[in-house]
Amino acid sequence: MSPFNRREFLKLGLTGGCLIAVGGSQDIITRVFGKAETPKKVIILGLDGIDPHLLETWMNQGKLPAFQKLRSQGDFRPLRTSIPPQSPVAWSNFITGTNPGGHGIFDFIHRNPENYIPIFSAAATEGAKRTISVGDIVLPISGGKVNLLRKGKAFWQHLEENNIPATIFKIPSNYPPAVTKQRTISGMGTPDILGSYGIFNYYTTDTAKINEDIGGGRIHEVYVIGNQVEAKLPGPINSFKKDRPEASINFKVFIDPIHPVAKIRIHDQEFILNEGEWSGWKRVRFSMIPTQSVSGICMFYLKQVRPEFKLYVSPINIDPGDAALPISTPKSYAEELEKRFGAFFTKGLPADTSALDNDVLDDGEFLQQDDFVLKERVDMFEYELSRFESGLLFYYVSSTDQRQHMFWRLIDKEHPSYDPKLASKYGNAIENIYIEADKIVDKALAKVDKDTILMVMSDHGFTPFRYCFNLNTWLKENGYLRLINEWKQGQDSFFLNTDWSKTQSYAIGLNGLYINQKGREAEGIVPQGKTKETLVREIAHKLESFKDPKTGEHPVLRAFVAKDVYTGSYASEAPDIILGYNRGYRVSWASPLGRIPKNIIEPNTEKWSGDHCMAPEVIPGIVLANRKIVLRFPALYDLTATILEIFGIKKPKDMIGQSIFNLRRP
Amino acid sequence: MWFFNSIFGKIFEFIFIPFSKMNPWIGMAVASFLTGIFMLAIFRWTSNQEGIRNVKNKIKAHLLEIRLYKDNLSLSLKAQGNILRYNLKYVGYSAKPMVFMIIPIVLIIIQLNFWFGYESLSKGQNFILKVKLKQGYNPLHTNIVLKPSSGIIIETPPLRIEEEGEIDWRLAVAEEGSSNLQILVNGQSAIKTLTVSQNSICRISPIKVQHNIFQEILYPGEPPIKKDIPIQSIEIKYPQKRMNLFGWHIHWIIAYFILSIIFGFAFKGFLKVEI
Amino acid sequence: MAKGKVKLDKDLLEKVKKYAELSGYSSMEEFITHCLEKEIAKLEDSDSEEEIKKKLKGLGYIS
Repeated sequence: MSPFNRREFLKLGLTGGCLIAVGGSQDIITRVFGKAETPKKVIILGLDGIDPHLLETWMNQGKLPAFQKLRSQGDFRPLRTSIPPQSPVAWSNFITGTNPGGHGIFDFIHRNPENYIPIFSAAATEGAKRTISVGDIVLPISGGKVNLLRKGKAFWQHLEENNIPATIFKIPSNYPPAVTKQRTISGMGTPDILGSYGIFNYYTTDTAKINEDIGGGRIHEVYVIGNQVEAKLPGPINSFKKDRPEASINFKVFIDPIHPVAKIRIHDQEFILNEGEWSGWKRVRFSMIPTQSVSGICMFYLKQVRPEFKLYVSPINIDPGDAALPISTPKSYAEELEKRFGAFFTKGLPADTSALDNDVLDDGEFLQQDDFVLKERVDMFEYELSRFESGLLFYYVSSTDQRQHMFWRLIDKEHPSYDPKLASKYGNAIENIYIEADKIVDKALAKVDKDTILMVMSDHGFTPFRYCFNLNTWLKENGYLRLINEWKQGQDSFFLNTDWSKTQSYAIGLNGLYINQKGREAEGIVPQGKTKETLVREIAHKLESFKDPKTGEHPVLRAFVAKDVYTGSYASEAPDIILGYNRGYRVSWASPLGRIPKNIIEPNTEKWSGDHCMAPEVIPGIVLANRKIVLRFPALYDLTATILEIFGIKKPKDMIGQSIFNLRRP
Repeated sequence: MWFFNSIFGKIFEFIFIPFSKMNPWIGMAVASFLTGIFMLAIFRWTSNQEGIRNVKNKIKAHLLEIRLYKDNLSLSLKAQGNILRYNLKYVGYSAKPMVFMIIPIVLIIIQLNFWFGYESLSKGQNFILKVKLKQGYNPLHTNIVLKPSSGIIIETPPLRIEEEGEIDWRLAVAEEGSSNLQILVNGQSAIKTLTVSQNSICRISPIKVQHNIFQEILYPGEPPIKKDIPIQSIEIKYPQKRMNLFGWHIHWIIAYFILSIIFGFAFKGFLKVEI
Repeated sequence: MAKGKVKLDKDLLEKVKKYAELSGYSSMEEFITHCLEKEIAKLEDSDSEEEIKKKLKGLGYIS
């Protein structure tokens, strides 16, 4: 075996979005592990969010021939998802073969009990511990690092120990990629180069129609002077400078005085776009100090030239050819893909749902962007399939999830955002992505021989998101949360108006509810033990009993008490109650970050209209395989146990699942 | 000027055409080898070979002197002074051949840049065409028509930048084969060549310029634009080419200088050149 | 160095005096400066709330 190369990664790291200088902190081998020939081969297609009801309907209508073929060759079952059914939680169940108590990911968003501030659940960045200052320049002398917060061993690490090769393509909840010699590239959870879940830039002369404080984007007011626009592309925080300024790149746009066409000049690159055209990937380099710079990739979209100028720039993805942050193992895997396919989406959730939600991109433009994502995925899948010879290949598709989030409003006439005109144009967006997924399944089927087991799975299904449940408002109305000033209700995020000395419970994240526990929370008042236990049961019961006065339905179908549903070493870190919303209901937009609007229930008028942060029984995922599934109600963690069984690896004690097949039966 | 440029260009074409489908390093090695030999030859004919030999022998002798008389400070110092003196003399002897070499080398580099500086275009690829008008001509008020040969598609309407006297188009290659672009300004036509090729090295002329001795020396790739046409230059933005050295992408000129020097030193004995 | 006056509660001032001496600071000013610098450094290390909000918002699930 060749010696490990000390990886020079994260020269420029992100601290929750700020670039800081960090040094080598992870050992990565330069060659890919495992050339062992395995008697059995496994291909797993992870199609995020594929819903069993929709799948069955369209399969039965003959629209999904490959899925149908796979079902006829083996089996199809709904797949029990995680509690709560959020992608990072669900995929972590699959990765580790445990429930959240075993891997410590309970929500997209966790909280810091010391200050009640929401935090990323996926990864944490440590800055350089020691630095020296020369003038206004700060140089790191010790390395910082990005840590994967998911605990537990990934199934490909078990395979590695048994000399079985695996390629893991963009599985969620694996950023930064777990240390391994297998070929892996990170997916959902991978930030953009600002360290965020994705911030686009939008340059326009018409800011009046857009709320400047929008989620996931920055609006820049620009002026057309002499048919030219001068603008700035903001980059990461430059932590090499004492006052930590934002790095940026100036660029210029030249507009023809009559024709709808523009030329963009950024660095020494020039490209011309017609109105309504995308630029493809452009590489941008932010200079920090003379010897250090950060490379990113982004796409420009010339939305309109006249009468108002409108230019969209996608979130700046980490450059896979020169990654400032760790996105693959070995590092060369991302570079290899970049060499073969050119720049590609590296940000975890690639399509820009925020831009669509905020009317910066319209439905058609969003679909164009997501088509780029899909094309990349299909091309790379073909490549990985073509060289797959032994062991395991896991391949992930995100478009199935993102399109269902954004286009459910056009298949659900009861949805507050339903628009018949748009429905006639884009109402088939979801059906189309199922058909595209079917083509991907077909490619996999073509590769399958008698020794290959093919599994197609999703982490959860989908359901309409018509009404928003303001959980923190409910807590306030029921006396569990107190405000400092009643009149200020609904104005502040982050519980700024909350009187912690009289607050027993609060909610952060998409499904979590916490008790303001003495000794755990900074200003906790509820003592641990029986008092807390009684309070938890009381709140859970009340939540399940609550009825929406307008519909008569129970918005909260299940209020799971964490200690009843989680096992494993990290169960104590869980929220105290995990809410399972009913079909049509979800936590509101404001509640997860600690805002407390006035009404408990509000209609969801956003384009983000389909969701899965509900009760698990409302939105199971799917599993199809070219073998008979003997388990009646398979769960995500059962698939992990299945993988190990196929390769004859003994299931470790902390894994809770069992194989879905009976492979010993002839 | 164009007569000289075209003859000079043809010589390079004659040299490189056999290697056009091979790895670009082969063409580069040939160019460097010929340059190395050429430099040796110039050096031999233009320098004082006898003088150089003498000076080098003197330097060697004084180096020996330092070693032999290392205990004698005054002798050592004197020897060092002599070494310095003969070194300067050596530099003096080298100056003359350098002067003879510099112009041909610059001309060679300009030609080599056509072969190694740019990637040729291929099917499906798009590129920018820039036409700069002569001073005093406003692109908004000048009648300009672009007529590409078949196989080339115009993807955007003309983008006119008044401030820079420039008109840009984005074009794309639909079919492979030799092509050109005809630009008509106020009814008068200029032709710009366009290279679409799968060869690993081929001759690419990115800019066509107006009649002007300096401009023609710098951009000798194709005949200059006729004087009465109000175009300053016509440029195609070809992608920059880099030489791939075990995954490192280096500029061709670095490879060229290093290889030429290596060849020069390797063959100096064979050609009996004292450097 | 620019100087400014800050008003402190009398009780607090007494405490500051006492603990500055106890902890071996040469003056009250030094003690107060040290405390403030420490607190500011903490704040500078953590992202501002707005910053957190912006970064999380790209997630799509929240606004």
